[in-house]
Amino acid sequence: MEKQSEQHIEKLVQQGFVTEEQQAEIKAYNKLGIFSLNTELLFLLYLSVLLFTGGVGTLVYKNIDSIGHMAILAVNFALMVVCFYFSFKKSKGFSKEEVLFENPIYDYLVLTGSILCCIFIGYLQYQYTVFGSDFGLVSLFSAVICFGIAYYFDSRMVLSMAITALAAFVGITITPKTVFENEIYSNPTLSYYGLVLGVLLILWTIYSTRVNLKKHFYFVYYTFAQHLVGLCCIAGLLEDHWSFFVPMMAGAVYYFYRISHQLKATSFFVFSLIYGYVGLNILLFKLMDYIDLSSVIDFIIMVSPIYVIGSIVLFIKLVRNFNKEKNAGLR
Amino acid sequence: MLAYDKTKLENEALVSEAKALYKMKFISKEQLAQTATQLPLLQSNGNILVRIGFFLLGCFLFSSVMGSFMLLFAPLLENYSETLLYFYAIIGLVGTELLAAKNYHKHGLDDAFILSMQVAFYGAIGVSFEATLPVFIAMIAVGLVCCVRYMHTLSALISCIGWVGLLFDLITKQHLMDTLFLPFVGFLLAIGIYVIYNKLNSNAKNYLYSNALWVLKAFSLVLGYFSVNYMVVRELSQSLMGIVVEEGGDIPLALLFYGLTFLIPLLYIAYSIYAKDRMMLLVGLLTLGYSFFTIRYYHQFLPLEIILILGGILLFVIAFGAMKILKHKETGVTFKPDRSSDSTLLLNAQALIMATQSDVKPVTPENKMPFGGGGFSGGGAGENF
Repeated sequence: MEKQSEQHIEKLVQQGFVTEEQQAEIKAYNKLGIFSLNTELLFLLYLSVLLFTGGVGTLVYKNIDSIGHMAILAVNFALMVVCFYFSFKKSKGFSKEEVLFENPIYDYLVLTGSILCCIFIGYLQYQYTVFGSDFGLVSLFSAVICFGIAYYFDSRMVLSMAITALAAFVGITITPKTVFENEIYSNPTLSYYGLVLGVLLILWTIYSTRVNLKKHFYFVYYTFAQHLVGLCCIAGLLEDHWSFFVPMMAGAVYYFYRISHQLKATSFFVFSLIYGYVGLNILLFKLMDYIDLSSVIDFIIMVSPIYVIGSIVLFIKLVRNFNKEKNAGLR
Repeated sequence: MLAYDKTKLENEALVSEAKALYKMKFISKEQLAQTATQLPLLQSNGNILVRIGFFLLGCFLFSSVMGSFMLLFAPLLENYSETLLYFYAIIGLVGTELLAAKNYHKHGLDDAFILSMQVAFYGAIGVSFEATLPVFIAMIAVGLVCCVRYMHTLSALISCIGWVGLLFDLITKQHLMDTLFLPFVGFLLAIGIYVIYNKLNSNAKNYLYSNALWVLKAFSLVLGYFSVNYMVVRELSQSLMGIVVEEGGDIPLALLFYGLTFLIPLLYIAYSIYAKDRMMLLVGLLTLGYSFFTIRYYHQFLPLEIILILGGILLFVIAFGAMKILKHKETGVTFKPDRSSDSTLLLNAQALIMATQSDVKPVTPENKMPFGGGGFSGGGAGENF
């Protein structure tokens, strides 16, 4: 493989795309034989946190009657305090910009502490009902704490926990595995709530960008917002009162289409097209249903390839435009 | 044999090399942009999401064509359903050739047509012969042809799967030899594929097929592990040979398989670090994880949560120790980020994985859930946790 790469570089030099000084630099670098285990080791660390907290959670759950509540709470609290003690000690303090720990290991310590904290709050509520009978408040409380931790320590992992908790407060579970069995489809009012939450997330991101507050969080926020709004709109379009969701869907698709061009982010671009296309097709089916085309259904199936080819041509054009702009940004 | 213009394919390889160099900050953005705009290229989508999107659209197109075709010809072909499948395969072939002539490569649309054509063809073969053996033979041959002609990487995988299927079919259904030999035959096949990979990879002429070769290697490593994995062997010997494992008993040669289950991943990991082979390292780590799962599946010596906690701590110690050791190394194996590594990518990915793992839904006492948080490796903490 390395030989091939060298040959390619040789060809690039011959055609004048790479200078000879650069080639020499590359050769010198390749001689070092660097094989970085950075990503792999960090990921193992991440896995170890998930295993450990998963184990603690299960242990608490299984022994809930035998160990005594105070003991569980005390151990959990102590572990949490240890995590945060070291994190605070090594932290560079709050900043509006992106700050990273010198050693990435502390990111994972913060994560462990946050998960333990959520377990602690949940357990407190279960056992002592500190928040009264309203269980939604627990999620809100967890969300607030997680947001605080995420902003202080600059942790995207905790941020996504916070957003998930916030969505849970509204009543929606947003994890990929629940998307298809989502409550949104069985409980129509949830799609309104989800829409509101999605819009709020977008507004917050716009505001943060404007005041320069942790601008780099935009990717996590926009990803959640896009899927929340998109899924809620699709769910809404399938309901009886679907007409309200048509402008919403159109607006969301347009907004994220523009955002993707602005930020040159391909994932937003692709998903805005996908949600837009799904929404459009739902509307087309509704239209066909409305004017009752069942008598000419054969004809519709016959001409359907033309419709698909048309949309493919359109998409190829859109992607080409997008890539052109993205590459222009490269220059 | 090749369906595409060779110079353009070579240009693609050059541009991807330039992209790698840009990521490693050896060349400037201007140089990359120059390379990408001045060399004539094929129509391809570098972004995997865009490619998947076009793949789905291509599948829609294929099925809509199938639908209109069926309506047109159904009255004529009432009793020849397999003929219709052959027709579909031909439609797929025509579409594939058209796309290749239009220079669509790694675009998504071409993937959809190449795969749909193959599925239709294998379906047709299966229906007309009413046996699996011809299907596997077809998979080996057609997969190879598609891989060579259209430079289609997944077709290489199909061809490999065809080989495994063929051997499995020959031994279990045609009784070519005793089923006892199945794991060893699988292992030999894996070694054979690896040898072929090595031979092809050492020839510089084959660099255009580097992705397909990559698949070949990954497949041989994974097959080599799973053909002698204790769990796979035990479950297969129970269902194929009717061996009943009694309390305290075990399958024949159990010790050998136990040993190999752990030896092979460790070998992969050690060799990968020696040879600086990232893919083999990944396969080694994943298969080692599966080995622990295998042991755990048959021997419940400790409660799960204790295993999780201990495993978490052990993993932490290993990772932390390795970081400490490698921290100050500047050459060879190191903890320093790669020149090409993109830390925001990892951070964003972890943030999104976190969303799949954490479950901070409020807990109501009715369903006896004592807490709301807590991630869990693999499957993710469900509600019953």
